[in-house]
Amino acid sequence: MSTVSKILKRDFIRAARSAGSWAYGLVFMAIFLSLCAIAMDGDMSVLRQMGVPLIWLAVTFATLISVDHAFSEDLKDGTTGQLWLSGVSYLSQSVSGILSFALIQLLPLVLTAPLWSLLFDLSLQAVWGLVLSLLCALPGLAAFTALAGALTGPSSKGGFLAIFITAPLLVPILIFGVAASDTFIDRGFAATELQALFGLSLLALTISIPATAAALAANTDR
Amino acid sequence: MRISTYIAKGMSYLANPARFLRFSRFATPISGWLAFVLIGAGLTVSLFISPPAIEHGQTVRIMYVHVPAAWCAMAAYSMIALASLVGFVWRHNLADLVAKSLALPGAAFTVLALVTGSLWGRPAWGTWWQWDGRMTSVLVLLFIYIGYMAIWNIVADRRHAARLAAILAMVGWLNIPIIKFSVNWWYTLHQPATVSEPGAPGLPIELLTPLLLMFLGYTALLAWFALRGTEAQLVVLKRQRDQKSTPAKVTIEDVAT
Repeated sequence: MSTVSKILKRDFIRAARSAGSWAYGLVFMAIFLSLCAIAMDGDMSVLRQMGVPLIWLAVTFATLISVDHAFSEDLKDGTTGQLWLSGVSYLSQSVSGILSFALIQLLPLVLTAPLWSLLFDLSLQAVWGLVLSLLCALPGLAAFTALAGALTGPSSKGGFLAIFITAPLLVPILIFGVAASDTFIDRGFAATELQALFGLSLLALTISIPATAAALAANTDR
Repeated sequence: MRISTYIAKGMSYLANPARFLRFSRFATPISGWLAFVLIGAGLTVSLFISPPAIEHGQTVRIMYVHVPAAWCAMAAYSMIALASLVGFVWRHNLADLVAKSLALPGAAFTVLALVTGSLWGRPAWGTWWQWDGRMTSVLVLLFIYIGYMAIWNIVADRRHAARLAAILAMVGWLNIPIIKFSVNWWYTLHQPATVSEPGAPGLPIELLTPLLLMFLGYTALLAWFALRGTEAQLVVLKRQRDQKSTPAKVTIEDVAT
């Protein structure tokens, strides 16, 4: 079994034993979206228009809130250093960490998007656009957030700082994400925004993998 | 090729803190006075001598403050990214200090560009703020500056903070090309480059003179901030290094007997 899949397996087991702390993002999303709908007086004609951007916003916020699950535990209890001493490079730790963050924290948010879209009475095509664009953005969202988690890892004030760092980096993904979801309704897969979003997302992933590895190294061997 | 060798030689000469201090001893006052004189002259020309523009009237004078501020905001960030790269690769203290001392002035120039842009937008476009490509990306630049400074503030150990901040600065540099080209990609309100690109429409000489004066003045001011900030950081470091506790007055023999 390769190193990456071993770390992934460990992360899944840890998530399963964590008494549901992996689902806090989902709970946050449910609360945030319900509050939005209530704040708009439950007016369906308004909610139908606001649905896509609000769900995008909820996913972004839920991602930012779950930044503590990316690397910070490993950095705090010294697992990162132990893994490095036993021959696991920072690069493979970075890859597996981003992957497990994407699968455990973010994928549930994306897959439940159709459920939340019921709250906003979105059309079927709009729900497809939303889910596809969220899936395209998933690597980028996970990569930038995991980078922030690795940068701020062991610091006690890290959580807030991580949100400071990630939010500006996520802005382009948010812009293209909402645009892609909207244009998918009219043009389907011909929407260039969807391709641009995926490209942007992969670019973010490419940059974040070495940067995360460097951050892990900087936070471990001092 | 030859110019790049000179730059490399100059940089490796200044890489030594003692030589840097010797250089900055005369470079700092020069850039400071240059900034004072140029900005003074630029303000005089732009406020009293240059004529109002045909389309925009008196509000064109905002441009002389706004454009150099935006340029300095981007230049400061690019220099932070470059210094971070040098500091990260060669683990060079002085480069880290230069990057750190550029952050606050850069953020201030970004705020100045945003505020003057907003003041310009009201009469020229009829709105204080518009979410067009360039404004959004400059706002994002401000947030990146804030995150960068927050890392320096929160992480206690200086070398550790420098490494983490350098990683963020290099990743955040992605935003700079987005700012530069946003006006061409999302062609909405903000006008594209008028002066800097070949084939651009350009400005008449009466408007170009104050703009260039302010431009050079702002650049000198930014250089002054960088040099002065780095000098201050070096002094702080030296003070920390020289700190010695006073010798003990009571020895173990005194206690024992």
